[in-house]
Amino acid sequence: MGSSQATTTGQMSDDHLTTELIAAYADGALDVQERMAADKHLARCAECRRELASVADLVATAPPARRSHIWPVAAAGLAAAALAFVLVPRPSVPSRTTERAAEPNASAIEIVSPAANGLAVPAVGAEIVWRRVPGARYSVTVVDTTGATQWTAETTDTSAAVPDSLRLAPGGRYYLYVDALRSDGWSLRSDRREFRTAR
Amino acid sequence: MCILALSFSLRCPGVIDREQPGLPPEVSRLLDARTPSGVDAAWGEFVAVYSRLLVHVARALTSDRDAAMDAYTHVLERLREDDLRRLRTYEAHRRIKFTTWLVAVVRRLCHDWHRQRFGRARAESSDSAKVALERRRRLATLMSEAGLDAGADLVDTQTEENGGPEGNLRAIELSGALEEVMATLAPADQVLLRLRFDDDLSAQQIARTLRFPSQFHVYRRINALLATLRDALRARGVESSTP
Repeated sequence: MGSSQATTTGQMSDDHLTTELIAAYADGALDVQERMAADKHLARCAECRRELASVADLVATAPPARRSHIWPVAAAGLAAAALAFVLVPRPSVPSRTTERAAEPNASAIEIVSPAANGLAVPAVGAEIVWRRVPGARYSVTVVDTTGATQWTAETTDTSAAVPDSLRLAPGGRYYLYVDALRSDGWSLRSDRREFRTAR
Repeated sequence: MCILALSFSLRCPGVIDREQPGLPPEVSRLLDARTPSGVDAAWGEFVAVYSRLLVHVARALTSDRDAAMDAYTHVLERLREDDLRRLRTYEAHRRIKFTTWLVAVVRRLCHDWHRQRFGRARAESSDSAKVALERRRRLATLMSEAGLDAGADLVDTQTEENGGPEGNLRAIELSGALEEVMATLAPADQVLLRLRFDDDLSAQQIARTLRFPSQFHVYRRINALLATLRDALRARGVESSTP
């Protein structure tokens, strides 16, 4: 990691390509002249080639952003009486995830419990169950709403109980997912399952 | 009847679109937030949307989970500091997809974190003998794949004991001739060959890096370039490592 680059803000550097040029190159967003100039630099700069290759690889293998679409709706004209309810936005962490390094046509892991119906689970000792993937080892991960990992465990079983030592906040919202590493080297990831703990 | 002008949002979670260049809505909301509570809420949304991406980069560049989470924390702090200064710089580069830009920024932030924690790594070029041997190995690979006998000869003389001063001298001469021929290629082709023979990237990695449609396109282009190099080197009288 001994890079001489220190321009995290992407300011122009005399010696190396900027963050923005690296990103634009990886994105195919450079125009012909910029690409030519960048290539001239890359042909002689192993450090920038290494950075470009790394960024391209990280982008190619990155999980998708967990974005929710927001559709603003102008509600002018609605009577106040008609708005007896309030739509509370759901958290901006969607349930859908993608497989990681999975072979084409491989099916994702299905989480059985906690169920997707939103019923609260015990704050202590919650049981996590998923459907078997032949010949796989599993890694179970529970994260909070900031993405911080609260608990992770590896097993060959298709269930795992959150240990009593981990006390999830009562009434808290968490997410879990299961990774499966198959014996043939492919890995799968489940959808991310949202769950709440009982108060 | 009391008419109210109201607006509200309907969210459809779980929809992941094909990203287009430009400011994503959650980033726009973050940069536009004016009140501390508004910034906090928008920051929370930003973290929720991009945490997996940030952790992905941090884990790829660190040795273990604890280090990755430290780097991840460092990245969040740096992104938020100075009124989101780094994120605001993206607005001048909207032609780039935000996530690509973010990955590049986060990667450098992770390197900053690593340097702060562990210091700069010692330059690999400090061992001149090792560098010379590595240069000869790469040269031998390229020459061999170009179909020149010089490649095989260089493989036989990869160690000081086997090659001796004459072998090293010949390697330097060949390397010089190769550099001269390489310099006549288009810069993009030079980068392709550097990635393959200097940096040891796989064809798949090169395809990703240079945006080739597939690794097979990479192979085809490399083969064409090697043929060009072979002809140019033969025209210069380079056929084998024998002086």
